[in-house]
Amino acid sequence: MRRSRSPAIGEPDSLEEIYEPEQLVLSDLLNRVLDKGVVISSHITISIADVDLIQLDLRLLISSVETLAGRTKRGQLPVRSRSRP
Amino acid sequence: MASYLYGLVLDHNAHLVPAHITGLGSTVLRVVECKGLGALVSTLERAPARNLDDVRAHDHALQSVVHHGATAAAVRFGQTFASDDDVRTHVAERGERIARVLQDCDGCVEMRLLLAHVPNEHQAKLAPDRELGPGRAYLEGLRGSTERLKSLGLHEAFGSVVRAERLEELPKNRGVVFSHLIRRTDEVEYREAVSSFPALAEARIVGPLALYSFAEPAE
Repeated sequence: MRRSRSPAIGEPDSLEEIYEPEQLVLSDLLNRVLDKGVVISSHITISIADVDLIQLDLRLLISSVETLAGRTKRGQLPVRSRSRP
Repeated sequence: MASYLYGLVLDHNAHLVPAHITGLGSTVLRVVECKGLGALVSTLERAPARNLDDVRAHDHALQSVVHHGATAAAVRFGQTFASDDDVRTHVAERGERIARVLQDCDGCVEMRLLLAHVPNEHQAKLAPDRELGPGRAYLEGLRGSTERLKSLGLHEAFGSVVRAERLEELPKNRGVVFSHLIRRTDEVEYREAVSSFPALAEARIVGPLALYSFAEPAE
């Protein structure tokens, strides 16, 4: 059974359609939780939108989706991802 | 089943973490002893999801810990471990450095001061001779200039209330964030300092928080 979910971060409607002051607060929340804090393990397991399990072996960092997408697009980030059985 | 890691506290602050704090998926936080540190973990039956619910749950769990009096170093979102022993092993590898940060910052919290950028189209509509309020004028001056922001010297203006300051720009030019390290007991004084600074009339204060920007030593 599939449960309802909140928008995955990076989905088009997840941040852009939110009222501006709230957008600022949310943007800061995402920025600090996804891009700041201590990295203990280089091996991070997350699921995207509760559907696909992705393993990211980033060695150094997992950045916000925006940062990650931008860098990946420019070929600056060696992201290795694979589906989990 | 996996042990999901939210943050770290000094072991002598572990007793401040109550047993009722919940994290991702409403799982209950517990403290795992790691040689001088307490690791804040909960047991998940699924991988953390990169959605707002889980991101908020991560942050909320840490805020609750801070609310109950413990200084905590935030761990970046999404770090799961096979077991509590696995957490201990990994934390031990970096424990000394993290413990040093927590000892230096014991009794402190992170406050974040959010300032929105003025969108280009709004700025273009402003008549040059229009009288701007101090807050708006300040925001006008912020656009695109990190160096100018640094030169504002908020840290100095706030005096001894702010122990350390870091500055960053949010993605997509949404705004800028001043991260301030303050003593927990100085929160009221900090808020008064911000509100007495006319240029910050439109700023949003977020906190007290776990140490996010200050979880790692300054480069």
